[in-house]
Amino acid sequence: MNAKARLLMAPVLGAEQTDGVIRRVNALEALADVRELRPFLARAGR
Amino acid sequence: MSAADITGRLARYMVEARERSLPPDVAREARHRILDTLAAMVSGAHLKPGEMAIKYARAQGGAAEATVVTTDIRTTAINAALANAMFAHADETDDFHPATKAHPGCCVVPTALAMAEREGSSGTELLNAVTLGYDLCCRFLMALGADLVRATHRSAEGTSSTMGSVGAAAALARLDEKGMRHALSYAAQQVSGIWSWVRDAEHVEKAFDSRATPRARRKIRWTRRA
Repeated sequence: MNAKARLLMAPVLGAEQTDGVIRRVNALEALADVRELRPFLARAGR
Repeated sequence: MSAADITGRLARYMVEARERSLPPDVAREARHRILDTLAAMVSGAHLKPGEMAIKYARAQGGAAEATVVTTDIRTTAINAALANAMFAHADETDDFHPATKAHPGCCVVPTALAMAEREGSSGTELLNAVTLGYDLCCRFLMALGADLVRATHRSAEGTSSTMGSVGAAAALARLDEKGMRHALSYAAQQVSGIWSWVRDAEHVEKAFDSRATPRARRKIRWTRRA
């Protein structure tokens, strides 16, 4: 699943943001506020 | 228990499911579905339905409640859910339920994400809401009979996406039993869609099958104020 997600997301979000999404979703129970995903899913200038 | 209390049983289940601790294998599957759908959203944002959704969301404006992924747009949860759901099914990389051919991820996850952003929900609350949404999405169609719905030229996908999304949204809105009953009723009133979407190879028309979902959520907000 991580590999599929990386393949689909990295061309759009870049490697750094993509890894940020994957890490946080895989440890979703540790996320205090879903808004912490915002900087990894958004992209400036588009 | 009378047959007339089916809505009550479901409403109570929805209230309890919000707080229930998920078995580890279910939680793992839910995390995978969320990641899988986020990937489908991101990759679909650049296709025609995605571009149209971005243009629409940008024009709508609105309170900055939730993110339209891959953009700098923050808009109402209603608009964000619609745009992200259009992304999620733009390239058919989203999941589907073999028994009913429902596509739970592309409706439930964008709705849950937008609502969780709006509410400031935790990751665990998102996980429980998505799990409940998947249950409602697929089980409503199993109970109705997917082929029976399609045989009437209506969109089975419209039914499943609306009921699944309202399950996730209602959980994150922390509705009580009465609120859940209202949410289910409002969602059922808004189920829409006809089979003609299958002719649209560009995956734009299908978005209207699920447009009822954000509207149902808006009505949930009214319920909460009541």
